[in-house]
Amino acid sequence: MECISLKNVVKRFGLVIALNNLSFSIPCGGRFALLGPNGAGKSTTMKILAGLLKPDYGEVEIMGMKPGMKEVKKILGYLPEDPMPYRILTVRENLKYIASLRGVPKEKVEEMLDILDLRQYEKIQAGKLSRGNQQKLSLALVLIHNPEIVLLDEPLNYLDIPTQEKVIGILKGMKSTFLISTHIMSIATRLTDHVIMISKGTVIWQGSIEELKALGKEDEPIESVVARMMDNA
Amino acid sequence: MLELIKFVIFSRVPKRSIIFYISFAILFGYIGYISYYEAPYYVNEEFRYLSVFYLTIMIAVSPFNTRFGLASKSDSDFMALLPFDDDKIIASLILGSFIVNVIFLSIFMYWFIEALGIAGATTIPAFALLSSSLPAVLYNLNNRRKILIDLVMVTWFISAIFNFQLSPLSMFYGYFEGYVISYAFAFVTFSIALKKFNFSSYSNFTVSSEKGEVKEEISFKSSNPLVLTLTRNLRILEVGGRVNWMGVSTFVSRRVELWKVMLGSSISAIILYFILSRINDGSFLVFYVLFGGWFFMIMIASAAFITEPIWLDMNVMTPEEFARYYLTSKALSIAIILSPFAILSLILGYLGDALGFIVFIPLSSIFIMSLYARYYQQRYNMPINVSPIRLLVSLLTSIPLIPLIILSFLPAYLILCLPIMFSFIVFYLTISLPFIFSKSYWESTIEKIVTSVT
Repeated sequence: MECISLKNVVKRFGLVIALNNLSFSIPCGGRFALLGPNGAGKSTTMKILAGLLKPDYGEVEIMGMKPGMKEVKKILGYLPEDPMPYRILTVRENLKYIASLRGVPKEKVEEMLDILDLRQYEKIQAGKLSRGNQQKLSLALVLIHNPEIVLLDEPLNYLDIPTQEKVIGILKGMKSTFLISTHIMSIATRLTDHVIMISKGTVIWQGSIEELKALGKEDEPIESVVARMMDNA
Repeated sequence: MLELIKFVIFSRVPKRSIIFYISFAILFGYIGYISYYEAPYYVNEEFRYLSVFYLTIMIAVSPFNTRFGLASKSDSDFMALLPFDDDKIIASLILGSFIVNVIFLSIFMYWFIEALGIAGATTIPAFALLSSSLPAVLYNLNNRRKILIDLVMVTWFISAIFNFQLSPLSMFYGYFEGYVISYAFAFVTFSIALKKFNFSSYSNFTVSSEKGEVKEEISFKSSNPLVLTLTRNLRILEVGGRVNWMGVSTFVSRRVELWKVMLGSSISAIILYFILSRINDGSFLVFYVLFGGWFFMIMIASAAFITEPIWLDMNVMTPEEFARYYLTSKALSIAIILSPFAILSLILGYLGDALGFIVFIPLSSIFIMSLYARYYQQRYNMPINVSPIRLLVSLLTSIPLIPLIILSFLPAYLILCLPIMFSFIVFYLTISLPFIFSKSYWESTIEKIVTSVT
């Protein structure tokens, strides 16, 4: 069964065409990376899937439902690039507020504080945290309800190496469907097993990471393969 | 250096906006000039009050422009590295900011000319220079010290109303000394700014008004989104945000518990009661208290949405649900804070003003926050910029103020007021309720916010 599906999606911002007949689908339980150069339409795609933007044309479905519906929000977790939680709420208040809105048991708050090493900051206002800790808190807020569909835009931004490892461990341990937008191939290879490459709002290549590696010459780094494909697009 | 000044100006205000502002100022300045000689004395007097009030607020706000007014983050990151002497960069920043402030202040040329005749226009450069230099003089002081200095300045400026001829605003009450003192004060502040300001330390200066650790935690027990949003917005208040009032803008942010704000408003209302109960006809002063309530609401409304994590709200709510709960809780918090003034007005027999505080101003906040969200978007981490459409929105947000001004001319007698009060209630409900219920407005507003802000 397909958990994420886009068919001929078009999105314009004034004269700029951000997405141009974009089509792809992700099966339930799939782990896909969304790759593309700057301005390719990655964040726009994520926002459309999260229900924050509406496509001008085309069909978008999350488990057979339209993005933005209450039923979809219950099963979806979306992390944008450079997220900021509620600035004047403390770390704990942020988690408790979102947990209450989602009807998640309070124990999950404690669990998230522990697994993301946020307990030492629990009484600090989110706006006063370092950028890395704000990123950790944002991840905790997105994952607190164990979403079935996870959309992450550059999830490891600002995190130090030990925290990156911890977050990779957490995400790998989840059984959800993942779409992760990133510029960094090492993140894509560690968190996902499939790649959707887009450029100028259109899919230019789709396949498994193994297939992507196989496209390169012997000992050619995967980054070079991706760069060549994007340049040729 | 001329190039640097030009760079500072055009990085703040687009050329088209400058032309718009100057045309606006000339047109309304001319209208003011014509009507000054025709207008009855009490009209000129009103404009004196308004001019003194506005200029005082503008100067009081300017020291808090630490990072967001005088220099932007881009200035800190790149301008400091340009191959120029620090002195030249500093002078360019202040002079550039001075010219921008002259342009902004010119919008209010009409007021100053209505108050003083053509001489009113000469007040603009002095106060523009003062508001550009003060942030550079006071940038490294903590907020407490800035507030203390502000209090002294506000008292000095406002003293003009009591005919203190040595006030920098005494020209509005017929004293030539006002011109001399305002210009002398501006030039002294400017020269101190040139000597004291250090661009490197300014660039590395962190704006932090509090430590960030919170002792009393909010408990979110309900699972109802309205109750939860109410709990969040009725327990604490984000004071500040985008403080933009008729062109004066800055960014400050602080978590304040609502009961503390309530305590402050209650004490103010009690003090006002003792003052007003000793005056024979206090209706004129009550209007100014009501205007203060309006100004407070504008502050809260201006801060709305600035730091709100829309991405997180949209993870759990639909746009219309979010807007409905958010606007309702903000309007309620304004009503609660202003309720002591409503009680004061009732005790003194001013039913209209009481309704103004507890119904009209909170309902106006829904209208204003909704317009700001769509047409005057601003984020905490983005520099404040201005455009004609934003000025237009600022002017539109003054519409709900008109019935409040009419209120001050109404008799205090209950029977006469009731039909007018009813029509006012209908007016305020008409301008605010559609925003609470409009699904499509908020869907496209959220899309607009998300498109312009990541």
